[in-house]
Amino acid sequence: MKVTAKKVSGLGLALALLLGAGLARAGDLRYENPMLYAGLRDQVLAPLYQAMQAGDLGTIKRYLQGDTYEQYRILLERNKNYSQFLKNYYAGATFEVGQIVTVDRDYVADILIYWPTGQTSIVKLRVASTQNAPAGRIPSSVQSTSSGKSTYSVSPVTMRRPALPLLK
Amino acid sequence: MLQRNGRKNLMPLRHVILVMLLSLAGCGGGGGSSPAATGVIIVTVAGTPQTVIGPALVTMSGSATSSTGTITGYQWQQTAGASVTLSNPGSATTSFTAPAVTTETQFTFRLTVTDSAGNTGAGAIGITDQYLHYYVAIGDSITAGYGDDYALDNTSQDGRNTGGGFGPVLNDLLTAKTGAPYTIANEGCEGATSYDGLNGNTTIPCDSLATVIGRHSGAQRYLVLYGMNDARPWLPVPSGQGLNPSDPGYPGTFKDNMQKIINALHNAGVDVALAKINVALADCAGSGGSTCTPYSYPQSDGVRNVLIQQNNAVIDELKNITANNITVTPPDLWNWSWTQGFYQTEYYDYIHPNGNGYRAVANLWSAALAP
Repeated sequence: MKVTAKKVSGLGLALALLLGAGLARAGDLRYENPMLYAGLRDQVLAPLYQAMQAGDLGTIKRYLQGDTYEQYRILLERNKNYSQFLKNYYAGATFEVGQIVTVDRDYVADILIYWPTGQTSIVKLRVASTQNAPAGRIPSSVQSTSSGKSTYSVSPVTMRRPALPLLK
Repeated sequence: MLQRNGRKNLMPLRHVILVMLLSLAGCGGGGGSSPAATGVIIVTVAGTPQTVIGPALVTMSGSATSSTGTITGYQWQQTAGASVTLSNPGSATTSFTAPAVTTETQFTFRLTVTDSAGNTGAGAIGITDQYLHYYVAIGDSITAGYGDDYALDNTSQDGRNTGGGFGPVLNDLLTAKTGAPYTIANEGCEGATSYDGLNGNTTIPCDSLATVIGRHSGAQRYLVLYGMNDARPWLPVPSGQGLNPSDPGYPGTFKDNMQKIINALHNAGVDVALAKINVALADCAGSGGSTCTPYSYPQSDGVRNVLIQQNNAVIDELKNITANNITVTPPDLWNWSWTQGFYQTEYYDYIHPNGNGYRAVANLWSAALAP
């Protein structure tokens, strides 16, 4: 009887782990579409972060569009010290792309930044096709449009107010 | 007056309190063709005094009884306060529009009643027109009230402010402290940077400051709290600490944006109060499925906090610029959250106050605005 119980609980644990792993992977392109994930990571996000670390404002500009570009326009176009500021800010940091999920027609990526102090920041970025490409298309390269912009734009994700309990 | 989100801003007739009740009995002298006056007229005016916040329609009514005849005439006239126009001053009920005032103002009126026997009587009433302290809070999610998990203080006692965060609590605190009515309109935008506060952002969404100013044309003071999102580790905004407008590293900095906000508010004729930013315990709010580890030493190792502390130094610099005419000492949310350690018990997550935290923030604003 004891043996049977152990077997049952062992099976239950295995099933729970499998279910948990499945839930954690739901929507994550790392598991659902590894090719697309690699394309977004290597062709869009990595070059952007390399440019940020190098203070390469010209490359950064190619990834920003609309309100996001406007938000940084003065810094990118008129602030003579912004390139050096970025170099100093990201000096010694390393980047890692975490999960990427599909939201509507866009992708939302978690970027992990490892700082020299040993601390980690996680940034959530929305990656959107600027040419209305079908969702799921693998970016072959970060091509420039005629306007000099990348075929993908990147912007930070804004938190939304969660449902809160009425009382403590 | 309804504001954005359906908030009720002014409820002028809600606080009707009687100021004065005066009954007078008068005896006419029998002038002209009036018969000899020997009776008494008892005049009652509108039950209780009234306190209003202009602009507001005020209605006053009188009633009278005569011991010897029937009432034949009513006549209202103003006896104190800036001149207003009375509707139907020759009837028992009259009204006028109490104007918006810049200081508490008393309006008094006299009602004279005559009867068929030639007797006259009079009553008087005073109307108190209060000055509404109309403030607008602009900023990011901390102004918006993100993370407020205590709902019982989400509506101010006067009903003017709803929605949580520090606004309704601040309203109550200032009203209790000064005895005057307040309203704190909440224009916080979750995720907003100082740039967004100035220029707007359709993605967040967040209206431009010009739009917000237009929405609150009667406001006298803006409570400004930006800087947390300027310091986020994705394309951070330099603080501009120690820089002047002519310096090459100044354009687009937090200091540049905040100075433009101050200038825009001054151009609109309103006063400005700035606040200092609280500590961030980690850089991973809203990080979803990825693992998040808080800073081991937030003040020194938290990359966002390096910029936040610089931004707080900028707040001091802007406050000390004479031309900015900032008289309110900036509430110091850094001191509350980090130096005093309230991040341990009054935070909802790694960045935002909880219900108790927002009460603390309201107390900081209250102490700064009405010391």
